[in-house]
Amino acid sequence: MTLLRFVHAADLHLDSPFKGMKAAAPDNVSTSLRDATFTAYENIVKLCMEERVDALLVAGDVYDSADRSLRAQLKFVEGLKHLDDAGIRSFICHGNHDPLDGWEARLDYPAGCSRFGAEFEAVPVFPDDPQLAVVHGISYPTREVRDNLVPRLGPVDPDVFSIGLMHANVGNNPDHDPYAPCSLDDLRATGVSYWALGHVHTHDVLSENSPTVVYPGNSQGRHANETGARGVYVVEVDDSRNVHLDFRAIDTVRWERPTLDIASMQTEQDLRDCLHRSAEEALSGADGRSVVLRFTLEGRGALYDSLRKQDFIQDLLDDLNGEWSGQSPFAWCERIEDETAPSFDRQERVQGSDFLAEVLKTTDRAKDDPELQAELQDGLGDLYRHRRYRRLLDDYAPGEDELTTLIDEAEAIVVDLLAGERDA
Amino acid sequence: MRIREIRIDGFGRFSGQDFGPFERPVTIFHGPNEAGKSTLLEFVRRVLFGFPRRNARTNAYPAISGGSYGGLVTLEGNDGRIYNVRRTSGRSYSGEVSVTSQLGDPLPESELTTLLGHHSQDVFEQVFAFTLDELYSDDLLSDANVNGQIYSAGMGVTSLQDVMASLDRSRNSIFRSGGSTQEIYSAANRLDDIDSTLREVADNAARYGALTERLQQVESELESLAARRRTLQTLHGRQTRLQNAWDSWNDLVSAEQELSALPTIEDFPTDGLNRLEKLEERVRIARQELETASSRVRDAKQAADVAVPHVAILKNSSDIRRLQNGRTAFDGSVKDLPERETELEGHRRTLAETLKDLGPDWDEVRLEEFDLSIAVRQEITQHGERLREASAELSSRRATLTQDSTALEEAIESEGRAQRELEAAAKPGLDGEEIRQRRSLARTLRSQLDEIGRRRQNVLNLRSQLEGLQAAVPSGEGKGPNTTVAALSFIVGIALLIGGAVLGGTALFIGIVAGIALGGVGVYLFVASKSAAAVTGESPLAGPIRESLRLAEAEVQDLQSKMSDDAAPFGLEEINESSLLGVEESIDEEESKLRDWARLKDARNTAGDLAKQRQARAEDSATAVQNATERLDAANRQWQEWLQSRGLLESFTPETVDVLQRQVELGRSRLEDVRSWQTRIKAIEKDIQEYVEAVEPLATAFDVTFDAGDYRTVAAAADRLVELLEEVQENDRNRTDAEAELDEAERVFQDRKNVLEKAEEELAQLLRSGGAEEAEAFRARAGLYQRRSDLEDKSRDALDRLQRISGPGEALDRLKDDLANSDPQSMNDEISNLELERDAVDAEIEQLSTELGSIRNELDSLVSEEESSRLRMERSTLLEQISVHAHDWARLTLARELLEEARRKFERERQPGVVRHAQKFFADITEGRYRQVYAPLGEQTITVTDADGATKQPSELSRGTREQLFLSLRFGLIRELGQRTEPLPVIVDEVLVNFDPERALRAAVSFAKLSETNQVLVFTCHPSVVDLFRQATSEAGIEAPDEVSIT
Repeated sequence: MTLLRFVHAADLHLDSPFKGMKAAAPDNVSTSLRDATFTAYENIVKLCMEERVDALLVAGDVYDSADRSLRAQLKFVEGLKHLDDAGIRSFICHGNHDPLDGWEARLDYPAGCSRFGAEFEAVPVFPDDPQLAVVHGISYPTREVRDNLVPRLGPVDPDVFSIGLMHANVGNNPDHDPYAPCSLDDLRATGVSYWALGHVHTHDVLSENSPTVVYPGNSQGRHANETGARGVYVVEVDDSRNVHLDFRAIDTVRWERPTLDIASMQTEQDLRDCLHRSAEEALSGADGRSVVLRFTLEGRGALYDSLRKQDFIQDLLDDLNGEWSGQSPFAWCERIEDETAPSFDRQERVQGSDFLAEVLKTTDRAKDDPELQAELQDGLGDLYRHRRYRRLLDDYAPGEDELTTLIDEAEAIVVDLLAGERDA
Repeated sequence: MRIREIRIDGFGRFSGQDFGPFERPVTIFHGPNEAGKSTLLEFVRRVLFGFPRRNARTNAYPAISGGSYGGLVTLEGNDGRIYNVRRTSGRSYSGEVSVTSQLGDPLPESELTTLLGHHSQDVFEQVFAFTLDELYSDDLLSDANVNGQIYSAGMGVTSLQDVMASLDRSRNSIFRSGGSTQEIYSAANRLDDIDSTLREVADNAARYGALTERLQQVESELESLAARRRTLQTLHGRQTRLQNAWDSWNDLVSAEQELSALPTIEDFPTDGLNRLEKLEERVRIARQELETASSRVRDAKQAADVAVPHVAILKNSSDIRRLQNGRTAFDGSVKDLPERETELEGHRRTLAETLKDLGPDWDEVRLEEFDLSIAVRQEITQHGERLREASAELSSRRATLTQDSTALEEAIESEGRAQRELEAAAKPGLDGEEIRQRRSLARTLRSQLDEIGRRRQNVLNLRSQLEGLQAAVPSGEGKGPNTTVAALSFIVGIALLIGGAVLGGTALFIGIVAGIALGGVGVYLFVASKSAAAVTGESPLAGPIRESLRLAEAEVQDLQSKMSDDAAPFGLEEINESSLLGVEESIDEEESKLRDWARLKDARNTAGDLAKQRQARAEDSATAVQNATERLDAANRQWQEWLQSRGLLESFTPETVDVLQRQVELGRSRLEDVRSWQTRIKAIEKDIQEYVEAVEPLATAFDVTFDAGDYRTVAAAADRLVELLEEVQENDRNRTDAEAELDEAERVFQDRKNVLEKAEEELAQLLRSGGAEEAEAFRARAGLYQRRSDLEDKSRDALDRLQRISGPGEALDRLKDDLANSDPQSMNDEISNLELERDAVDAEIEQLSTELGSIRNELDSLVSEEESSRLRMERSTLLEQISVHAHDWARLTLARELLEEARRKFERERQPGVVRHAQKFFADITEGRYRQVYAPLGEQTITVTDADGATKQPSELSRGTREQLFLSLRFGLIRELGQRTEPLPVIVDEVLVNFDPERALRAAVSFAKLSETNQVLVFTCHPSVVDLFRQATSEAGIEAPDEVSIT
């Protein structure tokens, strides 16, 4: 017998834009991308109804308060109302992107919806039978919560199946901001049966049982680094309080980052064919969803020089998007990154006594010599410390690791230019 | 590599002039101006690297003093080997070059390239062989080969500045501090616009809150206004009802008042007055119709009593109708009869003519009995075909016989003619085999005769050589072997080889032996001529030649002997060209005779065969003619028998019988026409007679005039009878109709009478039911009763209307009370007040409703607003673009920094050997005035630092110092290049003239030092320069220079 069935979602980021796209998308693609988070949310609501679950749990970052998107909040409440009409309760906590002190429109949430405040609160899943299951939820009062929130949870009734709903960084995941940090042991110590977490965008089951600790990930990938399926967990708890997890992809547009090695390609047509084939494979692997592609070309081969021709990569993009972006579902290539290398034996050339060898030695030195690095970084300050652009670059300046990458790229440019002069 | 000798065949002013050999490290060419020093320098350059393409800017140095254009430069490699480089004008503009060894062996041209250190012409001219004019020239540093040599820096360095510039362009197109057109700037501007718009859009949320609040207020106000309006509407409705009911109320009150004043009539026929008037009208109409019916009865009775004459004709009506129907046919028959009779006569005449054509014994009976069946026709056709075929065959056979007879005669004549020609021809003396044998023998003799000729020629040659040798021996007496004899021997040897090869056979062998022998002798003599040993007596060649001569003469003897034996069958005593030719001609003649006789014999035999063939063929044709004649006779007999069996003349041919048959067919057709017309005339006559017989009795019975012999009266009688019948039929129909009309008129009269009686009864009953005896009294009571009914209806209607307004029961009573207590004026006033108030409420509702709609629209707009989503998306894209731009800029910036850093380090640490050598030479020449020479990497310039530390560009130096700098730079290049490749000679033309004496000496000392590794050739017109080099070599401890005077 089933004790409880619910859908665990998080990080909906409704109406937040796709990030990291270099090229402006054509209208049909742009519209799909803008609507993608909403469509994913609609898919969640539809899933709840089809699966006839008892509740929907959303573990924070429903929307980005900073965006002040009325549409996001309205759509969210609208979905909750649909669920309420269908007798499905909803439990919401807020995270760093939608904290309690963030902007919020004056909206009426349905009666079957419970939104948690800045302190843990226990709300029965079934009001008529409060001893069956309880949700202990907590929201971020403000954007940056650096404290571990777990200790704030009071005693948990062991006779009741308890769910913890929280937006937190468990185990100090370095890819995400260290908000509400806590450890898996902290969570184990609470007595909560199921921790419904949010914040980490990649779905992950940190602990299968005692307690079950789950990140469902975000519902829609919005960045080239958020590739693959995105979705929610359908959670079923049986009478014995065993938890069964079922991940369901509900995203509508999928990010893919194919990498192509040019070593075996002899002609430009080979490359075009390969890109088209790859786009087709990405589409067919997305189960009817549209796909945003970012290709990376790597390796050494005959096409290295072609890739350096002006507008060549843009022509490839146009060719690819001309074929695939107008379709439904579409495959739209956002950019092609060229990480190919010349047919050039660096080890041998650096041993030489000519000027090129000196350049190669200089780049080697630049990676190890803090003084030279400081000099180089100082040279980048014109832009990265520029009064206007600093803000647009998020106060970012290349750090040590990135400087090394940049030096390698700069070396490639110099080698190409010197080779071009030699060939000319 | 050194230049040992220069040999000019023709170049500029030089012709056939040699210079060298140059043995010493330094060679000075001196002479006055225009003596040809520059020409000599240019000659060396061009022989080594090729003549330049001719154009206006180059001096072609044509060979103005004669000699073939070009010449030779002898080079000596580092290993001591000698190379002769000769260049002459050729098909290509650069001329034909040949490289040979000291012994004259040809060498590949690549040897020259190797000797020249694989340097290009430009490098050679810029660095090794230059004039005063070329000493300081930008070309030196701009030459990629030269420049590249300075640093040997490898790829791309020559365009380092271009690379830097390219990087700067790329960087600056992305970002430049203070720039306003860069890509990143445009993106940032667009971003600012978007942020501004997004800030505006962010206010939407506040707006949304305010609007929802206002929405609630407006909805609440609208609700209260709606309630007030409903109240007003109720009050207004009540007053309107009273107003609407007022007229009904008045009607009710007045009707009830009048009713109470009228007398009461309990009962009265319904619709009494109307019914009275209708009954009175029915009585009046019934009376009129009765009168009309009576008049009709009278008229019908009168018509039915009229009598009809000749009524008996009606019984013959069918006979008369038949006459009428046959009337047209009768007229036609009467008209046709004479025409048909005329036509019959015509047919009879035609038949008579046909019978006459057939013959006197032909009549209608025979015509009908004659057999025209298909079988008979078939028989006639068969007889005709048989006769034609037999006749045609006979004609054909006779023609063939005539042709064969003519051919036979011609063949007999040809045979006779061939026989006569054969008898007249001469019979041949030899047969074919004899002729073949003789011709073979003649060919053998011809071959032997040719061989003897060649051998005799060889004997003559050998004798001539022997005589030549014997004549030459005395001229070499007392001296070594003369080279002329050697050459002659060699040439004769070669001639013998060639002669032997041309003649072939044994002569070839002898020629080779003698040729090799003589050639060897020639070489021997040539070699021997180099030594001083003296030789006397007969030439050593005489022995071998004499031996060869003896062998040749013996072979001639042998051949002649053999040939005489072979010629015996021809009976010739001497075999020579003439006699052999005679033999060959006689064989040709005999062969011709034999061919002619054989040809005539073949012709005679062929003609005989042909005559026999034609004789046989003529005999066959005569037999065929006989057979054809017999077949024709048989066919004729059969035909005549057939004619007799048919009673026809024997002279008829099948074609005649065919004509007769067609004539019989025509006669039969005409006979049928005659018979057909006779039948037709009889039918017409019968029709006319039958019609006359039908008319006659009727005309008599009804008094119609008639004459049976006159067809016109018959036709008129028939017409009259028809007319009479129609008249009687018309009169009889009229009387019958009149009788029927009388019966109908009488029936109608009785019906009208009954109707009148019934109407009068109903009228009496009505008057009684209205309580009146007369119509007038009835009408007065009806008026009173009607008035009371109207008032009661009015009262009831008014009450109904009031009830419809108020509803039944108490509500009606209340309404009646209200109406009893009200008046129109007060009602109007109340309604006006209520409407005013209602309009005000409506206006307020409309205003709020409009606002409500507006709020809702705005809320919908805010809810569905997607612009901000789009802008956020674009913002995100722009931020990424800026980030990518920044990344690209950073890469380019680092690329430039790294390149710059590498360049600095390269220059700092690896100031090249070229510059270091140049720096040393320059310091030496200037006696330490300038200490440092510096060549920035990748730049086509050079700088110097003086003793005071001041850095100068070449343009800042005096001319002499500048020339010293560039001379030093060349020294540096020569030193550096010499370490890697073949050291080349340094050839300079007047390069010291702008130097002061001290520096000139130091420069000359430098040249002298340089000559330890590189041969130095100096061209000058200044004797002082010659002295300078003498002193310099002395100072440098170098062998004194070779001095070559050019005049």
